[in-house]
Amino acid sequence: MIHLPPGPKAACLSLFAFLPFVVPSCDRVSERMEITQTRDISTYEAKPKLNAYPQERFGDERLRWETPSGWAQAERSQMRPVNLTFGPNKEGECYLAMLPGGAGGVLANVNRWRKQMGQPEMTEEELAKLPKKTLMGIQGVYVTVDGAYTSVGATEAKPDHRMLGIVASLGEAGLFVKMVGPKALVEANTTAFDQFVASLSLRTPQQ
Amino acid sequence: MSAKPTSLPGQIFAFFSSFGLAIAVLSFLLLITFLGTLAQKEMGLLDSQRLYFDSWWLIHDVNLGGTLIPLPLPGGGLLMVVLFVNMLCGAVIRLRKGWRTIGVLISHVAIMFMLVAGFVSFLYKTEGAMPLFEGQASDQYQSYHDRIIEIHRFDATGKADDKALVIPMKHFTDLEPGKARTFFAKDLPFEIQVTGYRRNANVTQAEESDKTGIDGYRVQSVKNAKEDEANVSAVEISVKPKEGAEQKAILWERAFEPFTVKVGGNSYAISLSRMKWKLPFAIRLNDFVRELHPGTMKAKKYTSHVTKITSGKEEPKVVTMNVPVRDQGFVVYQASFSQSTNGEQSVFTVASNPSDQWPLWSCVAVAAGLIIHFLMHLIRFLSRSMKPKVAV
Repeated sequence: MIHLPPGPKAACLSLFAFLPFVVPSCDRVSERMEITQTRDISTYEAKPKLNAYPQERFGDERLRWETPSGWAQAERSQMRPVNLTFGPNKEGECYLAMLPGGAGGVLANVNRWRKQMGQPEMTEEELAKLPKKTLMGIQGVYVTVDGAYTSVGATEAKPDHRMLGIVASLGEAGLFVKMVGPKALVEANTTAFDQFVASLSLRTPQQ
Repeated sequence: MSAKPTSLPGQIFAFFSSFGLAIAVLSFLLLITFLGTLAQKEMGLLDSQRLYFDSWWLIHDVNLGGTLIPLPLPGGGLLMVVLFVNMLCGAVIRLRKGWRTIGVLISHVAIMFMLVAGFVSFLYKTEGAMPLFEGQASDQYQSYHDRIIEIHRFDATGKADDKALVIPMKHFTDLEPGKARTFFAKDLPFEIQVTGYRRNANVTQAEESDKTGIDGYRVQSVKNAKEDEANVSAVEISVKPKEGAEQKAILWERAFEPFTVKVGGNSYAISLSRMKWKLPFAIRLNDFVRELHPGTMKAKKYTSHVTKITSGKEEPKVVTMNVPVRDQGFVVYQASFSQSTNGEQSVFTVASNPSDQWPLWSCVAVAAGLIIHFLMHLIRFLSRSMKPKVAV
């Protein structure tokens, strides 16, 4: 046991007795709080990119592409990691979808697209005769469908539209690039579509 | 010996001016300095400093044969406040004033001034890094430890406001997953609910089936780094406009771009970052020179040739180790350097501390007080020695 002289001992005890009065009480988590603090923005500070996709924000380098000239980036979603629009009124759309489950395979997806364009389903034999294109290093089926386009959730079909798309399989996952819009507009942007597809790549993380 | 005071104020004064209290406080200071220094190995510099030295009190776990015994101790903050009061009562108010004690009085007041300097520094000091590539200029420095959530407005033409709203970290670091707080501001057309703060986290792609994912990503907690500078924090926010749908987002310190919300024709860039402070002048790095000890990679000297730009007026300066540039209360030190594919980057530490020079003045005053005290003793001793002794 440590024996302290009377002075320090009394002081120590008094110090501990004093503690409860000086320890600040813990803050409670209040529901609402006003923001009152500001900071000056430096003129040397780089302007941030507004409306950046999550991949751009989080530096996901696995997916890279180049947006063709005259095209614009649209709201990205979990189903559409790359979502682009084109045309004077942004009536054309082109997006990349990556589905881990493959959404039923190549034929099922091609037929779903054909159905959206008001066209009958095709068979395995017809599918095998479709031209091929490379999507991110994987050979996929190149689909061109003309017809009246009914987008997901729409009740009315838009006549005289064209759909271009590539469906590829990577193991059990499915990779899709789909472009749809008024037929003349899609025809005018077919080269840009090819450029976009060629620019798409998946990079493996650096070791 | 003076009689013991009987009144309560007298007893309180006697307690705060006692030598016993001074010994107890100094003993505790010694103990927490020892324990806090050892704790740096386990918990890092910042956390040990906050727990042992910036606190009012703390619980120190004593390891006795594998059993942890919690030991409550007074923190450095409390001890220094009590020491100040003790010196004020015992060494200034109670001290007999006169020429004989002038040196002691000066020394004690100077030590109290040093404690005040520490308190002012604790409250008002800002310190951060300013990394610059050759040819690059900046007029702001970024905190090493203070995180903020920042909201910066841009109008429809892309023109940015010259001020950004800031939520300091003390208002959201307690919001672990499950706790939330809503923030609002007078001119902000939406409210932000903040939750799920992680001091160190990764952001990874979420599985399709992951219901906790936000826009295809999720926050993954990572074990805290010992050095706080290495931690990369993250929060989840929910933006609730007065009209329109709620939007959720992850804010991550390492994000390359902010999360953007569009309301009423304006865009609001929301990000989690380190606090940045603006300087009244800019620094442009012209040339960085690194000298090594011969045959080693050990740094001998880092030198940055810079231009200080104040209201368009340019002034060449040299910042090197132990030779900072000082101006308008700010000090720019040479801290380190880094090399990347973009070239050499000189890293400066910028500090603003109103009490920057006070410890120096305090030390000079303590020394002067002691010199006066010892000289007076010497003179008295010599004058007594030189007096002729009276024969008995």
